[in-house]
Amino acid sequence: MQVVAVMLSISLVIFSACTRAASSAADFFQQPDMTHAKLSPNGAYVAAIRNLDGKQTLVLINTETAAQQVLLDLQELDTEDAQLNDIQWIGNTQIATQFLQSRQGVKDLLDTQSISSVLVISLPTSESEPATVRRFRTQGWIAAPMPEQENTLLYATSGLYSKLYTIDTRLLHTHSQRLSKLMKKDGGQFTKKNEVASVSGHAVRWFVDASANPVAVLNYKTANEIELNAIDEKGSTQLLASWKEDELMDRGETAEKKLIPIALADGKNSFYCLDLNEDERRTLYKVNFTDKREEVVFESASHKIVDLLINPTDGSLTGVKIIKNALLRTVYLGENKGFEIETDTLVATVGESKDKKVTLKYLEAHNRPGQFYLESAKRKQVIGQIFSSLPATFNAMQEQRYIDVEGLPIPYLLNYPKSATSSPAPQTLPLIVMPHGGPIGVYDSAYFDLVTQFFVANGYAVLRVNFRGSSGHTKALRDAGTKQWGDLMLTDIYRATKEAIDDPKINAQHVCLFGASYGGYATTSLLIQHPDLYRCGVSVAGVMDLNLYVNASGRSTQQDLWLQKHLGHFDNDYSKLMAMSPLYQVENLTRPLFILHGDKDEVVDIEHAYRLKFMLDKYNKPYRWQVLDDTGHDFGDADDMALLLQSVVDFIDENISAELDPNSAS
Amino acid sequence: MRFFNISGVHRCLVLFGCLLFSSFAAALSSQKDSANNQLFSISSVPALKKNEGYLLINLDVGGVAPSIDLIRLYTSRGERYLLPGEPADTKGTEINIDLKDKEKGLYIMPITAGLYQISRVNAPYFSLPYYQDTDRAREWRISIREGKTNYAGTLLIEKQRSTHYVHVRLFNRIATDHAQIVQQLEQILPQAPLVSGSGVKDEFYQIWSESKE
Repeated sequence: MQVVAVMLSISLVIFSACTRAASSAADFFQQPDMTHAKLSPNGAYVAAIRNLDGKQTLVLINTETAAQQVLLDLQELDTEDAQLNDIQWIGNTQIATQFLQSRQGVKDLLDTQSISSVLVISLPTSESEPATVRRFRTQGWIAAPMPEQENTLLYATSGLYSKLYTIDTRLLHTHSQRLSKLMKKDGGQFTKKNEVASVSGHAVRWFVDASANPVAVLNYKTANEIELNAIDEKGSTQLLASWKEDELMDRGETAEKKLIPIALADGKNSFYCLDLNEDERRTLYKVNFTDKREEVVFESASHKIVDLLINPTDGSLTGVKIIKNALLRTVYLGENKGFEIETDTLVATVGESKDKKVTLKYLEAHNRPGQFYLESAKRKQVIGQIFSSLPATFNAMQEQRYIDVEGLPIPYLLNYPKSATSSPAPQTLPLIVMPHGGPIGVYDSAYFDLVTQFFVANGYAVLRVNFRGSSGHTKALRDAGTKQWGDLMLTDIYRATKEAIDDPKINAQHVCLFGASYGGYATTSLLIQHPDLYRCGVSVAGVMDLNLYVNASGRSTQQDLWLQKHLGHFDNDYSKLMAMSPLYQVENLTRPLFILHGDKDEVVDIEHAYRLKFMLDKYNKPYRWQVLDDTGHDFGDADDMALLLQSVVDFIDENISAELDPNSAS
Repeated sequence: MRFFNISGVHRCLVLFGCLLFSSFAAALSSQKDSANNQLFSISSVPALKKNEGYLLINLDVGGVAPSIDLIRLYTSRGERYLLPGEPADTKGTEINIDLKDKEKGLYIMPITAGLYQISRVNAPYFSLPYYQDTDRAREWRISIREGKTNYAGTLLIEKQRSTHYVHVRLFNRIATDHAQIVQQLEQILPQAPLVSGSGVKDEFYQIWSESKE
């Protein structure tokens, strides 16, 4: 009986290993669906931007019935490569959006080949009628809607004298209307009579409070000097701060923060700011320019912050806009403001009706792709999802743990299929260790990660270590990453892996690495240094020669100094950087390695991959190699990502149980 | 020189001497310029003279009339790179290398051995600001060894630009470009072996080449 039981167990393990559920990358990696959503002040509608059939569409959702209608289809505007950025309500009957479209322009002069304009879309009076689309002909941007006045907004222009105007949107001409000589551009509204505020010099940003009163402006005083001016009720300005542009544009050699305001914060003379001196602007600060107090309020996981989402009702910060894979995306902030230590579920209030009866919220969790939902006394209703092709909830688990390495607690995340917790567990899980890129100032978020869930859906456990240098946690963790690229950062990942495989649901013999950029460096280094632990590795856009990386062209002086401070000096640390480069450790490689690199990557040049290839060939090491055509330092669009991740999971599937190659022993 | 306080004869002599000197200097300068400012296609490579090496560069440049400015740097005792803390002091006159109408590919130029700085990348577009200062940036240096073919990198000047910005890069791609170099310089490399012409220390090619033997 015992023998039969053992044989049954063995056959079950073999059978289940062969039939681990496979989810196709093509199903997983698709264009996001709903990317922006805004609630009307009266709570009757939600305006949202959706990607439908590959094109952006502005839709209107009735909050009572959830009925949806198309307000603006970019295909109907007959423009190629057009894009809608941002939406805001003007009263309860109009929506403004920034519309970016390409045009012929001057040959080879890129900034003449696109044009940005503001569209104002009026809600149709019935479902069968089309929406009326009006357009501002005067270049500028919307500073704020007027909260108590329908059809009226504050519009900003920038020039030798920059101004704010109140504009009645009903007097604008329609988008397609050709203006005759008798017609006044924009209804002739850009006059002194409508002027609310004025400042000498080109305004970069006007700061307006919840009542649409201008309270500050960021403007160029001269070609080389930028000022932040407070504006009082009488329209007089008071200087709060100034900067020389050449200092801001990285010609200085200090590592001091250069905090530039981008939005109003609560408190007099308080602003949300980005640090121009930061390698990649992922940290959001709140700064009081009177008493100079500053605090960190948010850190983006891995992408540059370019703008903020402010709740128009109370002026609170509800999200940040980032550039991810060359697209503008929104990251919503919950109460924990981007620090995932306490919870792995994000609930953010995106908007609230004036009577507070209807709230638009955003929810995301490690196993729940982002979704927008309406909440009222009567019900909760989902109205849209970031990834509508994916299930609303994945059958996945996540644990957040810490391991002490050299006296520093190192956080890590372990994700795995929920089936692993059933009793009896069907099998032990193979493990993919995914070191993140950066490495400094980037972190693995406890919220939804598409790549992680793809691997989990394919039956893997996934380990993501927020090794020293990572942001999103403590300053001590981040600061401990200085000059630890090839030392304690790798130790952190290694030690976390050793702890993870002690977990009985993890198969300690089936562990592989997958990483991009610094993650590719860590993957290759750890694969070489610990073949007893890691069976295979996949490196995408990996750094292979640290001296080559330190000496790359295209960085500003500030970035170069930052890199030398945090990675190593190009001269004094040459030998050390060489010793830490996986390029010069290849002789010791004994495990299968898959190398992928984009031929247009200008962050980590493809030369890194070719140098590694040279050394692998020299030592007759087997490897798989793929150049990603027309791809920069990212995974490309959804289709490219699907192809790439499918080839990655196929490689790992083939090699995760690989034995040591007897021909490659040194 | 306080020109107007000396006697008439002396004034003439000084003036004549200045004119002679300046014309001599101009002649010398223009000799330097004409000798060292032309890139050749691989099919028509001039022979090296004493104390010269080949500058090999892979061009991917666009625009109306791109060019680069090159100037020699002082190095201690003929070192290939600047020593730690050593200032980037220039030597001689700047030379302008015309890149107009150069198709994508490898180009070569004999040049005096030493360390050079690409100090400026020019990308004129009618009346718009047209240059990118690379000044003394170390990643824009080229090291030339006598009797060698010194690979300087792949120079990218994007054809499409914006009003105030031109995208330029110099990529150290000796491995990426190696197959192309070996194939196209088949006749040259036996006489002038390929080495890295990076202006900062980079031993990769040397290490790889030595371990192959």
